[in-house]
Amino acid sequence: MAKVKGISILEILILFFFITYLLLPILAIIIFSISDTWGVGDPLPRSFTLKWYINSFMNKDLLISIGRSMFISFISVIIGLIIILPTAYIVRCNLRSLEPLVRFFTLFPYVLPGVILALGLIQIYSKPPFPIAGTIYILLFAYIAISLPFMYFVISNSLQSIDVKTLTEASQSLGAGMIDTFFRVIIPNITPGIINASLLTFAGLLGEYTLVNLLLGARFKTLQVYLYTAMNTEGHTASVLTVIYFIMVSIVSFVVIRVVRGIIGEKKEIPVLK
Amino acid sequence: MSYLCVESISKRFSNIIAVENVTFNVEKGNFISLLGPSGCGKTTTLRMIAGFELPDEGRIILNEKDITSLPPNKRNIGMVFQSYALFPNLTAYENIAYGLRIRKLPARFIKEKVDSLLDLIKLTNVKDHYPYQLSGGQQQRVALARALAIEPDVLLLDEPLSALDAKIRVVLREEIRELQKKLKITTVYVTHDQEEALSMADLVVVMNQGRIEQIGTPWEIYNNPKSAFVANFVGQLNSLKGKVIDTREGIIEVNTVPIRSIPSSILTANSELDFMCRPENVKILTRDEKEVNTFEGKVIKVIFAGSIIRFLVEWNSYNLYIDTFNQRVIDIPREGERIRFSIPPEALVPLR
Repeated sequence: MAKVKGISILEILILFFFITYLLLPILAIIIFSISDTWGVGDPLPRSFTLKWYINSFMNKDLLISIGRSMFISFISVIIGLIIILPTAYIVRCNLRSLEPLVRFFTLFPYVLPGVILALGLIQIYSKPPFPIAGTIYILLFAYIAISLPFMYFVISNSLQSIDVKTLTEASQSLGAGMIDTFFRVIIPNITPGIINASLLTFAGLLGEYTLVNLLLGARFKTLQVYLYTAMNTEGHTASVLTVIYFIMVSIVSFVVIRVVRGIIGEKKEIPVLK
Repeated sequence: MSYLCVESISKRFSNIIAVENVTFNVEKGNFISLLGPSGCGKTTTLRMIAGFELPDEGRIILNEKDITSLPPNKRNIGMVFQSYALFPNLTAYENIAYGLRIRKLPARFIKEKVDSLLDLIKLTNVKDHYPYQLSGGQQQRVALARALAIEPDVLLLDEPLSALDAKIRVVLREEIRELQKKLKITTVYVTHDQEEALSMADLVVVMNQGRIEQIGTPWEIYNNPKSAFVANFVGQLNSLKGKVIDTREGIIEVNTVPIRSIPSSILTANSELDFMCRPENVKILTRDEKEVNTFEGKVIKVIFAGSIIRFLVEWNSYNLYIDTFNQRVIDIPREGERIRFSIPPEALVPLR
């Protein structure tokens, strides 16, 4: 078979179709978001405009909901990490026999349908000690709950990739307590896993619609609620929002990865000396 | 009182007895080795000294202080692990500095200490390398330096060389022993390799099924094993069943063949005993040499191991191992040939 730089034509074709399949919808959305007139039967718009973007950015409501979405997703991820990291570490290190049980429990919010989860959350949080139903805080609790399983799985998998128990023992024998060990040894060695878990959870929460809608309705618009409303009224705005959403997630991923690399330092490749 | 006293400690893991009533003492600056097959409880014993396991019974005294239930990070005991357990996110330098940073020692002191240790293990040139950039031997040297950096009261090593190549193992074995002597650090070394234990330790503790079989110097352990287990585990062995005929002269009978041994209180009249005889103590004789206990047998196998040649000889319904040095001038008996050999009386060690 013909080869181009060691790759066969067939492989290039497969790759081409795969990428096209993934990129085409995004491309269509981007084009639609800057199209002015796009008649039936036209392969491409007749004229382009940025007015949908300008309109969107002039809309204070929209900007607030974007900020709100980012804020609540961010806080949920941070609280989720604070809960999951020590839990996963302790389970992995000292309570390994409990691991299947913990996995089972963390799966709970995952397997419950959104409606049931929402109803349960409203019931619990409408009376003391947490009378927060109808406020944005209930969303925070809901988001933390639904992000736990995924975070736990990603982080406990990263913990499995290092010898947590022996590293902990080594650290202890050198005089470190659990807290020193946790921050100086464990966290730096599972940073890629933490980044993965955070980014994917963050992106997932940004795109969450069911729970917001059920728990808060139109009281607190998040980006997704806004998007949903826009889809029913104005297709162009919906495309604009999707593009914004896409760019937001990309920027956050990029920034987090860069920042973390700066902190843990890039490992230079040095040939192994014998 | 000794520097480190392990006093009748026991440990069970859900009904499996890992360690049972183990007692031994280590003098300050001594090198002691816990030797035994896997599952004999040697690592569990070490982990109890380190504080990673809590004994069900017994006490551990270090420098006249009871440390039995002290958490591991409060014991000031250095540990070297079989898997090196270097922190992957830290360079060789930072790995060694870790314990000193935890103790919040002044930066200048840390630098001096780490530099001198790097010098000691001859790895200054790779101090900025991460563990994954180091070879196994280098990693274990860094792990050793890291454990030594905190100037521990006791250094524990848990099969530190078993993941390394045979050649590096021997080199590092000597390096560790040299360092230990130089720094006069009290050391407990766990291994299943009898050669390692014998060549390094001042005192060897042979363990089996959670219990101590024998404590002694390498010389005692090898030459005067107290039990069949020790004799078998440490070194190659010929085991002969003998019936005591004459207690005064020390004559025993192996399958009706009389053999002279050294008279001792263990030899009681008409008792049947196991005798061990090390292959290197049996002497191959030339045609006209005459010695006590001279016999003749048929060579069934010749194993050439460089410095030593080992023969398997059929004699008196036993297959005896006989070792001899490889001296290039002598004619090596071939398979199928008959040879004469003698078992010196002192080579026969009765086992209880």
